[in-house]
Amino acid sequence: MNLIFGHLDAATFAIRRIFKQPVHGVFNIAVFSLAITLPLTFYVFIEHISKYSGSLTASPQISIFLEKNIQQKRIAQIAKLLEKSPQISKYSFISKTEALAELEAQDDISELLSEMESNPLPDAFVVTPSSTDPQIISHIYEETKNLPGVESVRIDSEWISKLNIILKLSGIIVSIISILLAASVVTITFNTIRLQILTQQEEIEFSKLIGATNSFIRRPFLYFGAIQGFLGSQGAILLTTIFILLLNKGFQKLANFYDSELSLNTLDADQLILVVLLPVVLGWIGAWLSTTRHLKKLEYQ
Amino acid sequence: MIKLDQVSKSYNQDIPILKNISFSIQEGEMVFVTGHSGAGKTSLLKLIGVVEKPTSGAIFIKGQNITNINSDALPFLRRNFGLIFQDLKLLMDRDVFDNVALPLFISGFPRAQIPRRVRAALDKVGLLRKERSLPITLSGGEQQRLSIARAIINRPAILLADEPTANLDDAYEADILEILKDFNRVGVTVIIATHNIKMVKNMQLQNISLKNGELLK
Repeated sequence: MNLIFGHLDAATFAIRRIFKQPVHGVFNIAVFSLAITLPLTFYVFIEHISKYSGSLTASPQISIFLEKNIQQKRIAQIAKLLEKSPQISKYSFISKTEALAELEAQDDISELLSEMESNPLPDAFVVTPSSTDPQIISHIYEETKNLPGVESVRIDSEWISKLNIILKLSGIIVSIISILLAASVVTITFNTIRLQILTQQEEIEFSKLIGATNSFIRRPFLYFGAIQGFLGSQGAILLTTIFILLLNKGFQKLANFYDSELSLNTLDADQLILVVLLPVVLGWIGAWLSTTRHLKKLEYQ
Repeated sequence: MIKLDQVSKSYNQDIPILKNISFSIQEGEMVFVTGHSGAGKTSLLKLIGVVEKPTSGAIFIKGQNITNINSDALPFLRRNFGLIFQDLKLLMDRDVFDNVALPLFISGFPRAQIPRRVRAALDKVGLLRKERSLPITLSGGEQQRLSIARAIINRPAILLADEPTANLDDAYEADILEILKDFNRVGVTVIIATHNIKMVKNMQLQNISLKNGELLK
């Protein structure tokens, strides 16, 4: 029971401390909020672009060019292999005669083709993968390029791979920024608590001398750090939501040009829990490090 | 109750503050520690009160060697002592009641009984009417009595008072000494550090006399 009262006292004390210096408290919480908002907004943006790229209707295509003198039997065998592959959603065969006819239909090069003695174009398969996942595209490429009768393979939509690489890189950047800002939240709390300790130094020293345990002394500061983290997270959620709404206005104008829908989602339940819990834990850690450092100076020696 | 065996203390290795101090104090005794300024009285009280560790030698409290006590047990050992500091160490941003209640909160005393216990202690030292006053508004004698109330609130086995009557006039001095004697009468071991020889002579109690960090008698 006393332990519960002890925690209630510590939490009350921490809240009083924040309101005792409201301007200072608001600035600290604002720093927390900004430190969390930046990676959070970036994360929401990257996550949404990632999902959006996965649902793009412009599926990448793979062209498999066959050897010039390939036999019809071999073409049928390759067609059978493509048919069986679960990674291929559809394929079509374009014979060299059809390809030539298509080219001849284009005015600008028909004259050039008519001067050639024979058809320079190969037979080809055009394959549509079942997914835009770069790994699947790469797998189809590797599987088909060494098939007997295949001259070369070309992936038409390398931009998808590039986009995925950019998204992965952005993910790494988000992680790095998050780690740096988490460290900054811990540092901010550490310093804030250090200043709090300095103002209560006499009380802490006296309490130690009359038998206060380290956990008794530490407790109000831990709550102070955690409450600051919690209030900071609320500010971050508010700011991130505002940023998302503002970005969506801009995206909507852009999307109208492509006759499509593009908007960022606000934070879901899992993300909200994480955004609230993480700053609380980081605030707690910062406060713990700061008080522990100070209490070490007061050890019996 | 308290036994010091060849205890020395130095902050700087070349300048010892206390040199090979040995003595015993029985349970329920009232003892003076005297000596001129800088003789080592405050350091001696800090060693007995487990505030500081001796450089060498051993200190026994109720038979337990406290010099190598582990950090987990230390706070609980310290709760056996009531400390009256020379500089009082009152919390100026808290009122009289909260100053006295602090040791009870620290020791986990039942909440419901705290007001009664605090008021009893304040009544004992004559400050009951000033429980909501801030220490800064009290006179020197009242501040001294407040620090006594805070020291005895946990009913300690040992009361250590460092110059409890310093800067007080004779009337206040007698008043403070009478309060300390009252606690001694109910079995509390009281150790008072003072440079006021006249007061020691009047009281006719055991006297541990220090000179330049050494025990005279």
